[in-house]
Amino acid sequence: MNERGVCYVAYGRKAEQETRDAISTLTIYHSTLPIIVISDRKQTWCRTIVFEDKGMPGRWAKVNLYNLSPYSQTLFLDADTRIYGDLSAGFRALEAGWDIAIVPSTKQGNEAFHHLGKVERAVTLNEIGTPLQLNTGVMWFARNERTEKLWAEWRKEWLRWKDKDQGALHRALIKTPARVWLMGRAYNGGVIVAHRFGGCKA
Amino acid sequence: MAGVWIQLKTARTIYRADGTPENKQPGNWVQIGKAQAREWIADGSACIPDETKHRAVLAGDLKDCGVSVRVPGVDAKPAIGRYELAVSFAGIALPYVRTLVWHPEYALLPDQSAYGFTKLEVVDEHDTWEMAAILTAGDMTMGMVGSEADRQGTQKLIGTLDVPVYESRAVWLRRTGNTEKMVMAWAELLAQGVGEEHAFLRALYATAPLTCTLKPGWMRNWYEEEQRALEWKRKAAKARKRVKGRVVQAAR
Repeated sequence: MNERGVCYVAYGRKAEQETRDAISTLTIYHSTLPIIVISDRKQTWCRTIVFEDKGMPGRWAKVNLYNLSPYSQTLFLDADTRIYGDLSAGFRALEAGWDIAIVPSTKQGNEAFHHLGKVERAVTLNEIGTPLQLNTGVMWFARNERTEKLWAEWRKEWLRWKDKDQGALHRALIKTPARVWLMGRAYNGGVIVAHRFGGCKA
Repeated sequence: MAGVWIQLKTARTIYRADGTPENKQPGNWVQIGKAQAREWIADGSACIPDETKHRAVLAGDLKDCGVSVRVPGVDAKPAIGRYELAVSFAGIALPYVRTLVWHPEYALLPDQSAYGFTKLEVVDEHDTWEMAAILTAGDMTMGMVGSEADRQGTQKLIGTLDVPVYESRAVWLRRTGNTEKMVMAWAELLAQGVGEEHAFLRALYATAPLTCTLKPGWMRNWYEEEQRALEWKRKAAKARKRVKGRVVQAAR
């Protein structure tokens, strides 16, 4: 098993093109990091894991990342991200003992879970209130017992509505806490990782 | 959906089981989930008039909890009110099973002190958080705080200063092997002269306890919301008088 690598998820032509563009920026700063793309069909321009889709495109793959990633330390990047700097600080946090490194969302407080379907939103608020929102578009994670449990719980939660993934992650984190290291805005929607949120929508 | 009954002190939106939003006004009783009820009580936007129930819902069982004050001799009463919490002046230490390590520079209301402990409750067979700490508001990063020496030291350890800043003057910790190491490292860094924010962050990074990070501004809106609600009430009362005046005039 490779020590470190990067995973993208690309379902559909738009996402595939976005991923190709994203990878072209990543390789400027991290030319030696292995990259794998999870998709519903084999790609000719990169290593691919072919994986069935379910529910909202790409989310089923994301909640199965633990099982799919061939790396012991994985950086997951949304296809609509563009890299403009060094990403090694996230891997360094994993080396220091953190399970996940991730960036808080720009939407907090009253805007929490604004993007969820209305029933899922109501149930999530009822079950867990409004914890610090985390954006799953850029995540470093280590393979270990805790992240394995967390991903299993995340999958279970996502299967309740099979829609967006972030609400499910927050519900899962309450039940299976992990060592979460927070990175700054620069790493998701900032100067190091730009994020064209929603860029993969058809 | 089952939940807890609380009385609102400010205007709030709640959601029915089908997701339909309902706008509720100050004074309304609403039934919401326990986690959200605790948040709203802690930030001052709701209460339970029965004091005993209020404390029981917000704080649960506090028997193993206490406050370790970082400044000797300071009165901790403003921060704990009528909650039965032990108090010591052990500084950055863990004298209790669940400890709030508190610096009086950071104003905490009693409900807020109690609320932090709930993040460290052991729930059934679930693993649980070892620490609860608050993020500072805005997109503040470690590159914006501390001395040049502090920043260099943090950069060397973490590899970046683009990480958020924690509010280190109110931190709740459950005593475990990890958190004992964390507070030792924290105290040691402060003793070496490292600045407040950097000492905390470096100790946190190096020991990696299971951390529940409380969102920035988790308690800040209480006063503003209350003022807005009072303003709404005044405007509504004026509007009702105007309508009444027009009706009376029309009747004449």
